[in-house]
Amino acid sequence: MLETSADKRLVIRMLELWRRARRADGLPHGSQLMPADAGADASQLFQIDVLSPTGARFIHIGSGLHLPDWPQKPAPLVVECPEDTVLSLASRHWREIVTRRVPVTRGGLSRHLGGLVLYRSIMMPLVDDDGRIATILGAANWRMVEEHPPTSVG
Amino acid sequence: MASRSYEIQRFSGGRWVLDSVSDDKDVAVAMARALMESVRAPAGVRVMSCQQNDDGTFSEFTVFRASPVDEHNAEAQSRRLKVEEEVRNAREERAKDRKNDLAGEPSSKRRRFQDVILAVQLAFGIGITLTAIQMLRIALR
Repeated sequence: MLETSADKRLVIRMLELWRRARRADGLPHGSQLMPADAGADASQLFQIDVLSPTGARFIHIGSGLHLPDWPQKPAPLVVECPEDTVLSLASRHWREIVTRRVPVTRGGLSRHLGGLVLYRSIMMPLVDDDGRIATILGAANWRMVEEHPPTSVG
Repeated sequence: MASRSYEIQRFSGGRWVLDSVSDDKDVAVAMARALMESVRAPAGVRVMSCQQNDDGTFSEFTVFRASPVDEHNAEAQSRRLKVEEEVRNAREERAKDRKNDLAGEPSSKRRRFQDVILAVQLAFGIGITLTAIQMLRIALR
């Protein structure tokens, strides 16, 4: 198992925050859980507006997830997020959260800005006044993994 | 290729309800444990390994389950194991004593008993001696 307990802790902490914000068995309202509520973890958070008529958009990207030279404009589309980044890995399956209406965590080995990383992410649904999933609050962290050059056989 | 995910489910209102999903078993179990330790802990939690096979069929099985009853059972089991260990140790101690007895070495229990017998004999001897002295004094008066 490559994942460190620190990777898991962010996911568990965010899930506990989300669970505390829920009303009985319902989903938490968007106003009940803001990125700022995560305290020290806020820098690793992002938020997606899934009801935007032009497509799902980032409405918040924490400083720990900022990418060099991106985004060029506010509220970028999720599909515009550069590939091979943890933010893209953590956010691209947002439709699954809307469909299943529960938090989903994903992780594993992948590439982030050219380097090999081990990441862990979570996305959690938040509803509007009509009970529709309006936004998704996500979190991700990672650590660099040493790359070994491929060894030739024979 | 078959895809596998882990569903964290909570027992609520007499049925199992999907709580969250993970792609990693260890993370899923940690999430289930965190749910059980939360303020609004459900009556039970379980983690189901769900796999969609290449032929389109699904297979699922439980990889973790916890409820207050399970926790009580685990506690009872641990208590039972402790008692069993104590009984085993006592049995071994007795067996050792028996072995020592057979080898001619008195056991600690037997040694204690012999000490008591010796003390009684001494007390009895002193008593008889004192009585004899007293009777002699009466006779010589």
